[in-house]
Amino acid sequence: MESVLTRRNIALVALLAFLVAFPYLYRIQPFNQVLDPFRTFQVTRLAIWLVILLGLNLLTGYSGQISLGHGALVAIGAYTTAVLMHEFGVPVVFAVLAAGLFTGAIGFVLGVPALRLTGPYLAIATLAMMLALPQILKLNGIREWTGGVSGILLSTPRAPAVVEGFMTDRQWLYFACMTPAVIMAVLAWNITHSHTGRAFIALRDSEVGAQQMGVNVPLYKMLAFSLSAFYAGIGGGLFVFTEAFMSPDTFDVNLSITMLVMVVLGGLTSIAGTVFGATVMTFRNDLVDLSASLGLLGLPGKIVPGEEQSSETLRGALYGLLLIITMVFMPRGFVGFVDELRGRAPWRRAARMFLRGRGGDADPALDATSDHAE
Amino acid sequence: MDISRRAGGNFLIRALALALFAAGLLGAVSCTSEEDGGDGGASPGVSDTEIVLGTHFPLSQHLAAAYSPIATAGMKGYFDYINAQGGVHGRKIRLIVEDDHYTPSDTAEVVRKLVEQDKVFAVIGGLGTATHSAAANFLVERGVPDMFVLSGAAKFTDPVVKTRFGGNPDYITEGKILGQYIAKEHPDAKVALILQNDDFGADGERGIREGIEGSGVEIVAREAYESLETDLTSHVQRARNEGADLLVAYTLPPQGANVAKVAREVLNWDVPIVVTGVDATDIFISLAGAENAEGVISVVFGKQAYQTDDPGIQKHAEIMKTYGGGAEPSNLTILGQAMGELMVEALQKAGRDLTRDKLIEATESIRGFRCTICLVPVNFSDSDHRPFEVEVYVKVEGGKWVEFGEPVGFESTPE
Repeated sequence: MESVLTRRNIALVALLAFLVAFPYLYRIQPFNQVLDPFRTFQVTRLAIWLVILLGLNLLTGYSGQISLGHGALVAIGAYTTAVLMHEFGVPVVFAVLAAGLFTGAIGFVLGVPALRLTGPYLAIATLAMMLALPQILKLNGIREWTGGVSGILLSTPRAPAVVEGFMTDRQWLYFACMTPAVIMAVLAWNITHSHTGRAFIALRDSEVGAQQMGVNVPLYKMLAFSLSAFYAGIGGGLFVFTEAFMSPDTFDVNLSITMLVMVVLGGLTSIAGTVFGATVMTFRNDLVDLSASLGLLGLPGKIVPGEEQSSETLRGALYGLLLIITMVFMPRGFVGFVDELRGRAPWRRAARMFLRGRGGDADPALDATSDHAE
Repeated sequence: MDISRRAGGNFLIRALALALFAAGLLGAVSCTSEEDGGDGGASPGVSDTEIVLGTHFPLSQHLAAAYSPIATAGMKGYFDYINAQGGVHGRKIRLIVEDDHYTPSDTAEVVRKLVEQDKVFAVIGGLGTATHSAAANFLVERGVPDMFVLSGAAKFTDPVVKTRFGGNPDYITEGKILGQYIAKEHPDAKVALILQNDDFGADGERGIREGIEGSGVEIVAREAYESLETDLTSHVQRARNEGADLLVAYTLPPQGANVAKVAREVLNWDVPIVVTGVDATDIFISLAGAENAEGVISVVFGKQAYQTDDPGIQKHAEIMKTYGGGAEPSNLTILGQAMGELMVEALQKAGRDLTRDKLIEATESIRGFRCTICLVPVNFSDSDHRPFEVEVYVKVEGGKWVEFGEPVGFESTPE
């Protein structure tokens, strides 16, 4: 009985309730001060980024395979969905699932070169894939399906008649993306806490060691790629569903690199970290706006004279700096950093001692976000 | 044990209360029939004193320098100038420029923000083909006027969409005009096309082919390059090997300049070069070097910043100095002001009692409007949403684009 009533479970129920209520909150005081349908759209995007970044974290964080070409897999998923919906009139649910499976299969095949390539070489190979894909999509042979350079324009997604009156189109999209995102997050949590997840981590820490422990290295490597690609495919499918437009330029190298930055920033090998990364990914423009309005971006201009005008262009440098800071000072990402802080905070320690002193089991919430996987 | 259980109980009650609260909200708000999207009043973005407009541009990263002055100096500066004169029908124009990094997914996002959060009256001068494609349908659906799209892709104006108007000349029309020049001046030319591998290049090619139809001009080579390539040496070389004796470039200025430079400097090849109007900019000449650019042919619809004895350009320089943040007058600021002048003209015609429908109607009624810095008049009608269908040939002479000949083109708006 009490195992169900842990603080963590209750927190999860509350979170779920919040997620359900979120797209309606903007109509109510005082939430309408900060929320509007546009925020609902942004959080819908957040759900999609979460699915995509979860896949990248499974590959890069858990299995230690660096990929700079995740955007290519997302694009494949998006194109599969778009072509299925546009050319064959497949309903969106099946189109997205098929895109996930198809992209997963491609990921499995892509795992083959990864068996021979490690570290920077793998990164270069995946980067090459990212660079090649737009050209492939523009090939004349498949133009009939992909629409070449003009891309594919889908009809705007509408809420089905069943939910009319309860939801606007925007709210419908929110639920259509948030539901799979939550399912995929739970799935990722379960995978990483299973035999498979432990095999991935063994693989990351030492391939030889993993082999010694009886992990089938080639199989698990390809499985990691495949799972990651499955997430990318689903994410891409949801993306094109909400966006109703896909072109070869939609996912570029920059975006792929930004994804990797966000995963590292949030915390490799952490689901909570991925949620954080997806949040930053979604609101990164707002963050730059915010730091600009606070005058933070003007700082370089004050240091380097004559650079005032172009301080906005320092976004790329900002990401790089964040990445270096993360690597040096918070190797486990933001979530790991918070964890450490919490562990060190005096009141936390006191609380733990108090609970231990009373002979009770340690407060589960204290461990809730700590890194179970390690 | 005791403690955690008691705490758990409290939490459960709170969570239940929260869930109930949420359910209550759901029930309460689902009954309201209010439509979201901010189309509440007849004219969002219009108050007694203000008209709010929005646009999307790359303000950071690599393309910012190449495009952002159109919006941040040209359009904004001109609107501020108009505001200083008392605005349009007593209303000041406020332009919100959002940074989309020239990335389609970001454009989709910032345009939604403009419509739903900033509640703009209209979008003006949205830049880029792929980028604007990601937002165009959304704008149509919300009935937001999509004024003067800064993309030459023909798909934005053909077929005509009621709420959308083109900005710069479309590449098919422009290609036709250039093709006609080639057919007339080089009737036996063997042409090599150097094209950016996207809509821009494809539309240009279509226009050129239509322009040379029926003449002795032959296309002997077609070289497509990816927009990330900046060194086109191998493409120019292949064009020469194919026996071309005239180059046509549908490229952005850096690549176009590279073509001229490679042909003249590297290959020492004195071949006539015809480039898209996109390249007819000062930056093209400075990148290629005045020597290499000499004799390059293109088309323009606006005046050039160096024509400082022209009253329109003089005024433009003044406006940029006072209201455009001191921006140096260039093709970019001129293009921005041209879009601004068109918008102000449309708003003037729409009247004080401003609605989106009236703006569309007023824009369609614009005939023979010549902005102060344009070389050719603008005509719209309900079947023609293309502003510039007539252009003027220019040739690089002594490091400057110099007009020659009569304006050429196709006007689809009947008199």
